[in-house]
Amino acid sequence: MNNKKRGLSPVIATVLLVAIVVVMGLIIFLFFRAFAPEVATKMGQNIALTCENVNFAADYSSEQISITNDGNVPIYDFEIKVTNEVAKSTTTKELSKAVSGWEKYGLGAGDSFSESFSTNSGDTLLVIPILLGTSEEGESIYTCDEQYGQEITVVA
Amino acid sequence: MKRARLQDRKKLSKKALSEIIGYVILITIALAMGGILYAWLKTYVPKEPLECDDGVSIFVKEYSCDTQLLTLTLKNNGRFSIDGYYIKASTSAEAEIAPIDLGSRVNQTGVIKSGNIVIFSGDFNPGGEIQNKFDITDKGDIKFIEIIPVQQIDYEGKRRIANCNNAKIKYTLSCPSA
Repeated sequence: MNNKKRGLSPVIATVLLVAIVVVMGLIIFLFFRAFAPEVATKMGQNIALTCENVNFAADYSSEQISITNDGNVPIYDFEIKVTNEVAKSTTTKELSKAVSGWEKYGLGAGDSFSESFSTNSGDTLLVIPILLGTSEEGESIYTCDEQYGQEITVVA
Repeated sequence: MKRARLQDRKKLSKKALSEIIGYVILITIALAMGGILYAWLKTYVPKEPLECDDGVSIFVKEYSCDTQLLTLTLKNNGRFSIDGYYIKASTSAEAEIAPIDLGSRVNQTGVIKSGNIVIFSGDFNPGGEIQNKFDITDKGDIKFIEIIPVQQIDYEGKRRIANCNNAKIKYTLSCPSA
């Protein structure tokens, strides 16, 4: 008599199990996603990979910083790391904020830029490209690794 | 006895969900998860960058300049045709790069300007020569120029302009001061 009583069909139990696992997986995914850096893309690939295709030339002479974008990847901005070995100091500036004539969307392919930039003799400038990519939340900026930067030594 | 056996057989033949539907659900879930994973991992796969052909080369055969006009004769000494070029100038001999754009100052009929690129109206094939003139009024005493050839390349189904930065050239000038 007792054997004839069935609690829950195996199919419903399986569906419930799968549903619970999926919901738990989603909760864990959403929780850990907050700790992971947001994936931004540029030119159809991860923006960190696009940094490898950036090609620019930078120079500092006559108190002017000059940059030309020789490659095919538009450069949104530059991070400039100013290091002075004597004073043992390092400051970081964004070029767009340090100069007045920077275009809103930066340097397109083939564009060039030249403007006065205050620095001291003996300083070393590390010019690192910043790219504008797209992510789920819209536009997102990404600073390339220092290995993609160019070093300029300021001579008096 | 017979009745009870018949009832048992009836119970066994009752199926809640067909096996096929079970498989379909399982495969659908697997495909959806695979799709999500694929879309995420695809962003980490490097794509073929926009590049022009290896073997593109251009050089300045001769030039003439005064205070207002710079005339360049360019020769294509590469293995591929070139569609145009960027041209920049510098007024400082000590500078390493030329930031002054001359492409938008091309002063010649029959030459197309696209932003700051000088686009050739005809073919500029290997071995060919072309002469272009640039208005350099108010540009100061130009010490050197840099030229980056460009090619139009089919990239991801679109015709795109690719800078041939490997073929960039630097040429020192000696023009009379204004």
